[in-house]
Amino acid sequence: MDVGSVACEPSYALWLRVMLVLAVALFFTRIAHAQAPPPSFFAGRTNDELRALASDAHNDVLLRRGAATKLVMTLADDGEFDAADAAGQEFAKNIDSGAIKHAKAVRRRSHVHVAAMGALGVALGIAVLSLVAAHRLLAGALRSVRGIAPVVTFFLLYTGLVGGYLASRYENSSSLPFVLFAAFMLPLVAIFRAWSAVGSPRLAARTGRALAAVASTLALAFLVVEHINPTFLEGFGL
Amino acid sequence: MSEEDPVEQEVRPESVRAIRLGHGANCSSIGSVVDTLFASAVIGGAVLAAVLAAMRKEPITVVGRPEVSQPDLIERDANTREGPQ
Repeated sequence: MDVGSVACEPSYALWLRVMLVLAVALFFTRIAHAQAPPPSFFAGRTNDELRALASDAHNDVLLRRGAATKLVMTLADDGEFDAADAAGQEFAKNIDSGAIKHAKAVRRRSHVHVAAMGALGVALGIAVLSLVAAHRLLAGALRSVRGIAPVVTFFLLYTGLVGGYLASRYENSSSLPFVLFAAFMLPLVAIFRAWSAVGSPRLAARTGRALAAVASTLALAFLVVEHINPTFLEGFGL
Repeated sequence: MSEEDPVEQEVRPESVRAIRLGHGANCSSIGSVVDTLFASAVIGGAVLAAVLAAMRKEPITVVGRPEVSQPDLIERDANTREGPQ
């Protein structure tokens, strides 16, 4: 026992010195006294105020970090992506990395939003123009739509009601994305079936219509989820 | 054992680094389940829409017996070509 305690003495001394040096360093860098302000502290502040808080060297490190993080996230949410990137680089040494990821995700989401609107608009525009051009065949097209009505209704009810019910069983989940997606899919599918009834039967035309339908469905799903709650898209990297 | 709530003992405010909002908050597995469920619904809808958009035209179906048979039509056509003499 005595031998062991004697052998540990140099180790204790070393650790005491290390801790003393760390304490002095933390004291002078003011990290020791830093305390993260609550989110309400930053609420309602303008971007200029946040930038001033983040830039002031007299503020403690956590206050500056919180202000820089809030600034970058606010700029990104407002669609000022270049300003958000610039602020992220300006305060890169003291910022929550989540803010940078959030800014990138919001920028990506805005690009996907434009692509989704474009895909949906182009596909529906071509479909409607085809239906107008072939208005003499609309009676037959309506018969075709009626023919697939039971299958489509079953699928969409299953998606909207069963999917929505399963989603709503979880703690904070919402059934709204499932219900709205199913509701908007109904006219979309009817338009595409009518388009296929009056459109060209050639393989290239059918393939093009199928691709347009897939793109429109994905675009619709994205827009529905984005409209309800964009945080739902975080799981998809958006 | 203390009489205090064990949860309050374990989680102190200063120990909380972040709180996530939204579906499946603070539990990634629940979020993943709902995301997967929605993704499967979207994929199913996309397949359904693609199949319907790629369908051929409705085939023309003649219902009932034609009033004029094929030989009669040929004969009538021949008479028409000869014209009134």
